[in-house]
Amino acid sequence: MNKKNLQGYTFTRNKNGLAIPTNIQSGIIRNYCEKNNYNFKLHLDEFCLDGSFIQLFQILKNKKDINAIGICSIYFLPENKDLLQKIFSISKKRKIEIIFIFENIIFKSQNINIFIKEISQIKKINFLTKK
Amino acid sequence: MFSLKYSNLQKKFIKQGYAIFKIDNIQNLNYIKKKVEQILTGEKINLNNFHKSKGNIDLNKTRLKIIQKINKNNEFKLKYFNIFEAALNEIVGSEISMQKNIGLNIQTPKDSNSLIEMHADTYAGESNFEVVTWLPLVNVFKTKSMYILPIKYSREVEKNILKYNEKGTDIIYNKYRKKIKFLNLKFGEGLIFTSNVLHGNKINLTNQTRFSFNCRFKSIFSPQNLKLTNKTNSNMYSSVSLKPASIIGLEYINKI
Repeated sequence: MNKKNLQGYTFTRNKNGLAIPTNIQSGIIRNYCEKNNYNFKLHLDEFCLDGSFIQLFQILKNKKDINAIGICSIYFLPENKDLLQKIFSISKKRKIEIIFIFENIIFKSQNINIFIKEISQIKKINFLTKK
Repeated sequence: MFSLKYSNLQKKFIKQGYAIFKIDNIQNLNYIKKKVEQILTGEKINLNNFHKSKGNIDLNKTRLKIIQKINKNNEFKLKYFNIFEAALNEIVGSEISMQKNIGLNIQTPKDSNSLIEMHADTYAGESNFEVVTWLPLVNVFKTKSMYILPIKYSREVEKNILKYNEKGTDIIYNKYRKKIKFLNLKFGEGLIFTSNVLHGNKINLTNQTRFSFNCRFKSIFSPQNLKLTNKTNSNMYSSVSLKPASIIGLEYINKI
């Protein structure tokens, strides 16, 4: 049986104290692929310029032959809800799953608004103890 | 006061953001190529035809295996440095930091798994003073090679980079298609380019495989990219050519 193709997406900015070297992120995604029978496609590093998601859109809009995008965490997505809507809409339209490895959640074809609420809820719970 | 006269290599680098040069000591290059062949098969093979050989199903594993082996081999690293030493001396300076791990790309025909989309290393937080050395082990041309958007146009893109945020980098590639250079290098030539230029590769549409090494260098005392990252110091480098005055100077600084 043909393996599904998973494209790695790594994040280069410090997000709420979460800053993981991209080679480590890539190793985590590669490991996920091995365990879950995906064919790993070399990761793309997001640009570290503030507000840049150009490489995520590059994968979503222009990359062919991919079935999934592997991202370490939901924190590597934009905060802006419109941008999130766009990301999940393209992903749904192109039937590309987005896999968040740390949180162990996958966006497939769920209702986008509910999914955005769900990830926002996870973020709130994680920051309950934040001063 | 006098001013420096730039060599042809320096002039090319300033104008384009990259320069190709002929490697003087071909024995070092032959050593590097031989080591790769030994890791792959234990015997001499034509790297151009690697994709036709048996046992190369998991390209990424093969790539990582070579990377692990060569980076444990200090002689290999020294020979790699020696290949670029004179050119680095002209372009970067004589007190140089070298990236701890040398990277490798294997680009087989029509493979889309190892694509490196358009980017500049500075966008990953690397220093604006850094250079990338690139060493092909085979002749490279057209899509078997990498491409660079010369510095003038890379600067132009950078000014408006967030304009392309929701479109992806393909739109930049298409807009600057006529300015982009796919580099022609023969075996025996090396490339140095600034971390500020946009570069990448496309699916290799030739019928030959490309093997190329890459490694980053910067002047030891040049700044990190503080504008873009929170990094105060990068741990990806090790210094390879500290001069005596700097050794003593650093000892004093570290005492404070």
